[in-house]
Amino acid sequence: MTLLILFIGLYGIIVCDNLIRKIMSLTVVQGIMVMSFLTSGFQPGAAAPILSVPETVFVDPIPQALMLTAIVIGVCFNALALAFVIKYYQHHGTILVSEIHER
Amino acid sequence: MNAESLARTVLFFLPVIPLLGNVMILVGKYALRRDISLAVLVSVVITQLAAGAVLIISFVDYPGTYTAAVSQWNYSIIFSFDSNKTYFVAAYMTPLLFTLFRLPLLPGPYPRMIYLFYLAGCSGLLVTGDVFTFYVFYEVMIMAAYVLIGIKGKYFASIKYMIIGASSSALFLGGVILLYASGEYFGFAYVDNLTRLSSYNVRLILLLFSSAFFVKGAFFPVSAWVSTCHTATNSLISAFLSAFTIFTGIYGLYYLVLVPADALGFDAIFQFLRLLSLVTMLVPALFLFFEPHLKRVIAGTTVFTIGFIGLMLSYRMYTVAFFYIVIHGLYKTLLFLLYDHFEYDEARQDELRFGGTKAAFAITGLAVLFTTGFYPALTYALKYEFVGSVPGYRVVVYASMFLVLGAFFKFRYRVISKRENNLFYVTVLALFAMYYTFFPFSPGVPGISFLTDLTVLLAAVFGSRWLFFRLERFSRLDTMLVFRNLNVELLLIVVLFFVEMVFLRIVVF
Repeated sequence: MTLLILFIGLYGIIVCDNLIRKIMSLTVVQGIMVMSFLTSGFQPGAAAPILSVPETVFVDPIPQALMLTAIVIGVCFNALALAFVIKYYQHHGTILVSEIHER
Repeated sequence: MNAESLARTVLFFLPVIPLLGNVMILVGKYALRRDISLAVLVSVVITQLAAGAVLIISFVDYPGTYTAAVSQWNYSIIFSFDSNKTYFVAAYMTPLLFTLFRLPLLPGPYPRMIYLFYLAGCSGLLVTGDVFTFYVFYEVMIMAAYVLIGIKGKYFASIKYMIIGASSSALFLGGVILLYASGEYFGFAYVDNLTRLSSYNVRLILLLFSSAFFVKGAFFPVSAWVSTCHTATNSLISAFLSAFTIFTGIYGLYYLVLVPADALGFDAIFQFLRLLSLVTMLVPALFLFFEPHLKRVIAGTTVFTIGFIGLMLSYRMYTVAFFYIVIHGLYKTLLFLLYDHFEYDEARQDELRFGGTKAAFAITGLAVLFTTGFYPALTYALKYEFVGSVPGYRVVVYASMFLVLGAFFKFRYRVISKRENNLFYVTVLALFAMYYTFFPFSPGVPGISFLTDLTVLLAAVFGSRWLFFRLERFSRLDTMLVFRNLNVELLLIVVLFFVEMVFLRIVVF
């Protein structure tokens, strides 16, 4: 399933002509990366890593802590990218890669 | 406080200095109701230059790696420094020094604050010692760079840089996940853990990291974005991006891929790097030759240099490669800053003609010759250090040298009266002198090799314009071959990944 979603994201990044769809596809790829990391720290039957709960086995808190950072970076990326796309649209009236001439 | 503890304190505070600068700008704006951003920016740059100098002096001969973890935890934030990092600090300091002359190009307090975030990211990268903090500092640096690229209104360049940067970061994050899933240690010295893993997992981790850094470091075929993104902004930011930011790809490649691969005796990655670097030296140089926009030519020479540095790294000539990065930083910064002294000849509507001051032309000429490694530049010594050790690459080195020199000499320059910036030129000359005085390499004895250099130079001076007009139909060759299309560039990232995957025998057909 992870690979399937990853390939859907990759397909969108490469093929989509619309810049917003491209950014959404990138978000899908980043999301699946985060999910993979979180599941790599999962242990069946273990409790959430909240130390006040009287459990003996906790899941590893590392992936959660690190991926929170990655999610924040992802949100910043999305906000910035979409802001630039809006700016570009206001100036050039298009967000289609095929209609963008760099020269 | 003795010298050693001072150096260690500097190590921790290097990325904090620009952030403190941001706090001061905000205090000035909201508490004092005054814009003190320029004064703060100048202070931060000077402080960082001093801090960088302390680090270089303290660690240039440091044996091994100095490592300091914030806590005893396995995943703690780690700071580390070694003698190789001093080269990257020098590469960082070079454009930083020149920004002192161009800081007013950043219009108003907000771009200056973004620039300070950018400096925080750059300096954080230099002192970090673990993979995840590397990722965080890299993102801080690159996010700020996205905004700075867009400050002149060329938003597509920013968007392109963002999409390509995020794609490479996704690959990098994949490597971090795999490292966590198998190695349980994030320090740069993760090689100790890799020895316990299966060969397949090691290859997969190295594949993910290396392909991420091949994109960040702009190796061909994923290099066309450089001339779009590095030229869209003002010369201050362009200089910094070309002199330092792009080489963070080489920095990551060395610490996270080549050092572990070397320790594990995993030679396939070096062979792949060799092939990729050869292509990166030649093909973008060919594109440069047919590029009619001077600023894009300046940006494009960075890719040629990355190819040469990659080639040196693939033969494990690390010190020579790192030193080349420092020298390249100086010349590239000069070329971008001097571009501001040129004027496009609007009267003739000829984009191959430029006007400028005598001093600007003289120093640009020197910088171009030195970038390509012409005698008696230090790059000449480094070039012969390489071709002396590996003579088989002489033809490739000269061919790309001709193409890069020709890319500059096909333009026509005429002297026009314009106010000269004497302070800037004096500093430039002082830096040239300083580099010759303090750095360890000295130019080799000129002999046959020097004559070959001279022949290549004369061929470029007298033949490049003639050749360019004979082959004018190939003008903007990279655009003609669809390398400068965002969708194609993204496809090439995937292609590069799969080609490397096959090369490293992760999948066998």
